[in-house]
Amino acid sequence: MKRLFQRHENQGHNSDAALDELLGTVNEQLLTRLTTGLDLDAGLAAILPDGGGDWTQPQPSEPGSSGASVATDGPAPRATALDLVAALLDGWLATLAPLASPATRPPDGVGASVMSLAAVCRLIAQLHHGLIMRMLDRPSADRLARLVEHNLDEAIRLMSGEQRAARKQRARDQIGDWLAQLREIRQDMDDLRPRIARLFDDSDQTTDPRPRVPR
Amino acid sequence: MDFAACYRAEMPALVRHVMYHGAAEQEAYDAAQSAFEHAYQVWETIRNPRAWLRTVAVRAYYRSAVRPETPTDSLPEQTSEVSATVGAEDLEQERAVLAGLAALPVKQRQVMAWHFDGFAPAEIAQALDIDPAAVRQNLLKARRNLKQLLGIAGREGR
Repeated sequence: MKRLFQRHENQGHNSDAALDELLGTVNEQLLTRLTTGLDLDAGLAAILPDGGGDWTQPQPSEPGSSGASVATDGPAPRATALDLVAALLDGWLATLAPLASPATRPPDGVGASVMSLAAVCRLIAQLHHGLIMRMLDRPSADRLARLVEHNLDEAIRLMSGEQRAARKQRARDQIGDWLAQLREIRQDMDDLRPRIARLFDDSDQTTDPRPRVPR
Repeated sequence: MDFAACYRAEMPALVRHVMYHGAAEQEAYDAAQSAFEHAYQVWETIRNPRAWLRTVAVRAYYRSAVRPETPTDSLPEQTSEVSATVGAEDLEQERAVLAGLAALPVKQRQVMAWHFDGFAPAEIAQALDIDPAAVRQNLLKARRNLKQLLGIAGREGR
């Protein structure tokens, strides 16, 4: 890799300039390649109802029907309880999934806890998908939520042990950062099961399990 | 900005942003497209489309990445048409930088991805819900780590 970037090192007299040049080049290069390679007309036509003609204001959608995430702009004005639960799960996943990703190098000393963390992510994704697609009934949703809690507790327990056993202070600090994120999410999770249960309050699941989550 | 104009202007950069989070090109495209599909439904309520799209697209990527039924081994290969537009060295550089970003700790990778897209530390802090000082600190650490990972550390880094 060093050979590859020799010219960047030689052109600048310090490494910051070389890094900026390299990152700037790759950033532009990638954008150009994607701009050239992507069929934007086809992508747009797949979204717009008129197939990509003049853009018109979208029709108001049924709340929660798109499974859209509440993002940086906060909840949409007509966000339903389901939207809010979905956004909550989405937010946790956005924090936890990068930690559990095989592409992420965990701090030294972290081992088995990542397995539990990966299980938490899978379960959250499953719960999120099941709720927004209305594929879960109340007991199944509650069971998934309990499994999420259980696996997160397990991940925290294992990671705490790994932190204590870590040899270097730097690794202990890094594991501490991860643990802080996990504990914060675990705390926010306390009212998850009641919130999920309330989603089903209006459905009579004993006579007809469909729709599983009130629309 | 209307939706179609935003799509044309932002889609490639959005795909690139998701790639900086570790996604393969096709995964990044799917996540970006899914974010625009959601955006279309709530377009009038979005105040900052660039930040909104990035947050939603990255979340869509993470969801698809951990969903067990996602067939990760059947993703299409990069098309030869696209590969042919860039030189081998450029492609190698690109892969090396993406690999370098993937090797960074999570927060540093996230901060770098937003930084690459021209967001200021205060905006990044808001999007990632962290302190602006933590953004600056993570940027510094990410740069230092990237220099090492890419083998371009100067004298001061040794």
